[in-house]
Amino acid sequence: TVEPLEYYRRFLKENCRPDGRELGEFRTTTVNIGSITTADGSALVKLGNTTVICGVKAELAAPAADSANKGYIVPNVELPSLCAERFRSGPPGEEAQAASQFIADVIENSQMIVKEDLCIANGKLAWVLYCDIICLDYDGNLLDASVFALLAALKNVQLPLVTINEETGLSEVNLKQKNPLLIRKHPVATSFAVFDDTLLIVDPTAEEEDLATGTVTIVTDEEGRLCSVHKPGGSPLTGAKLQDCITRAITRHKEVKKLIDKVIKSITPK
Amino acid sequence: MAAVMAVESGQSRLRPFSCELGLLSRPDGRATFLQGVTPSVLAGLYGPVEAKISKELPDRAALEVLLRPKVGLPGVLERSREQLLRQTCEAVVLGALHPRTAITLVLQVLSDASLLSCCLNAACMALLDAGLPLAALFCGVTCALQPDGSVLLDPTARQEQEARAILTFAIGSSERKVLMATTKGSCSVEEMQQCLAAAQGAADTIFQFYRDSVRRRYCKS
Amino acid sequence: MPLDHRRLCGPEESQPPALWAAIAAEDEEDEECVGAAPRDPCALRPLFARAGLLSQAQGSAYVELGSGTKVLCAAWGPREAAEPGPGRLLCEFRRAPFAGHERGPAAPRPNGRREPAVRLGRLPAARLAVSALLLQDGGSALAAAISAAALALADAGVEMYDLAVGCALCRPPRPPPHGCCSRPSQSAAPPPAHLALLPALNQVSAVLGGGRGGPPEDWAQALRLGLDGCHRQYPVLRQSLLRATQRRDAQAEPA
Repeated sequence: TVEPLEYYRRFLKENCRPDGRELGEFRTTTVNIGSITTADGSALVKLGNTTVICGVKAELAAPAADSANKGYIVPNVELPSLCAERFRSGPPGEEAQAASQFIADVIENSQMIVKEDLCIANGKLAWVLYCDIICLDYDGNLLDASVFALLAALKNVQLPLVTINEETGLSEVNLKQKNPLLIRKHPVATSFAVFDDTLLIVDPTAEEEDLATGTVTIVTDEEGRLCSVHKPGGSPLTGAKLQDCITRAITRHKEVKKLIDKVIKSITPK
Repeated sequence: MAAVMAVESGQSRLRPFSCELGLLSRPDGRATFLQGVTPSVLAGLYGPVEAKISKELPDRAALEVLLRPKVGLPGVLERSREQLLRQTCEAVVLGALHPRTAITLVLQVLSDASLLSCCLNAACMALLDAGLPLAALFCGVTCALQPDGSVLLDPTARQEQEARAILTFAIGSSERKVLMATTKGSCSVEEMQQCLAAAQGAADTIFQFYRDSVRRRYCKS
Repeated sequence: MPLDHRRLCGPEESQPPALWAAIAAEDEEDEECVGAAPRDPCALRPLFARAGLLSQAQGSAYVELGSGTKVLCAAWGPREAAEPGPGRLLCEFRRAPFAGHERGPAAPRPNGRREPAVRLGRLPAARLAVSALLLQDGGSALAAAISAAALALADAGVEMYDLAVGCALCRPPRPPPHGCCSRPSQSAAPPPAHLALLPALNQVSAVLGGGRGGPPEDWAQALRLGLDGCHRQYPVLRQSLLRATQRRDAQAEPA
């Protein structure tokens, strides 16, 4: 299209988008759990064309000196050159780093995993969960897909049983006996793009993100509490508009929770 | 030129803050923002100057924000804050008036507790000081939700640690709309709206302070 | 290793849990091997290939060997290159941190630049980019990546002499015959030989060998096995390319 913005405005005036969606409609969301067998937990999430894979690797380490009863969660988002033409190969760029920080904040704010749960022996041994989130196909709304992939992958994690031998003081790992992680909260992200400073559209594609004047991401948990309100600059919004976003985010949470419960149920053989 | 003022708003007080414009001599725009007693953030703005070909944008000025921590090298946290600050500034700078130029804003954190709101205020004052055409002003306000549910404006580092949630907003001067929002910890929807209202209330005092300090700067000469 | 400022960092040192369960792990691996061992050393693992699945890339392909090795590949081009000269093909091969049994170094290591299996002198001063990502390493990752890259380039509509097919060989611990093709080699050394073939022209485009040397007959036999493996994979790759084109046509028609 020669005038993409004008093209979009025509659609938005009629309350729909070029791909046939309504303004408040998400793209088809699919999730595939446990597809990477080398990881301790993994999930592939597709949001329309946007594809994100999250693999969790669990390792053992000594807890940090100032928090002896805590384990570690290390989330990192990668946008390799594979996922879109504009990303260069090499170390993560600004967008990937901002996304990593956002994911780390979501984990911390929502307390989806309490770091104390990851501690095996106080001051001696704790789990480190390396959560690597890689975008395979970038068609907008990276944050929603990443948060969803992270949640689904963590739900899939099975940690081997670790005991500390009283006599030798060494740890013993029983790879045959595995336990799932305790997920205390289920945060779900919902992103919006702001068009022409006023119109809010949900789940923007890459093209919509480029044309939009700002984005907002709301993360809620199952109790309807806000885990994150992330508005990185862009068009100013009134408090009422933010409230609209939050209301939509709470309904989205229910949809996603239903989907993830269904998928988890389908892979547990009982 | 220093200006100090103590402000009181509806629910709680903002700490006295002050700023100094024109402390550095080289940059086109400069500001030091102090919250409490110690200097917090030093800002220097360069531009609009000719942009590097790889960075130039055909329809507007390319804005770059560099955030330097007090010690060490900038990491992931700084990078994500740079993004927040840059996109907030982009929303107010009338960049279309200076196409194919570059504007660089450097923020040096001086205190241990680097409040994002301090950075925002310093950034806006630097933009003002440089005389760049702006669509609106913005200010940063931090609110802390205390364990008992009350809202505390502009918490100290210790209060921040005790708080249940910390919300930082950038409020624009036109209609007091929200330019930027970021949260730490979880809160209910009502609590968020409460904090937002408190922040919007405090914004007026900060804008008044902006006006006063700029006026004083130009009175002297 | 210097501290990486562009990633969130964990503790300075951490070990995979399997390290602490050395005895138990070996037992388990033995069991696994017993389950998987009956594979004929010359048999190929089932190959699954799909082309044209990424929306943002001009060409893309996904190759899966058995259910162990998964490689995704995207291709772009041709674009104008900054420097004049003959056309160039830039390759990148990354490994997801969770691809191996042990977590790789925090930075996915570029696994060496793959020699362009296919290239063309038709496009002067142009640049083609191929980038492959290894999602899960179950052995023969390089071979899978070669096939995927060729498929992605073809899917991008780049003129090529032929579709390159990769095949990896490894020598089992017992001396006599060369075990063939895409044997999962996670516990053993990496496959000491890789072979890329242009089947339609019947030309070998790349041979990469390593490990301890062997008598020439062994190498000759290995090459034959590898060539055979490549020829057998070729139809599957062609099929997937055909299917991708058909899908695209079907999508284009109603519009």
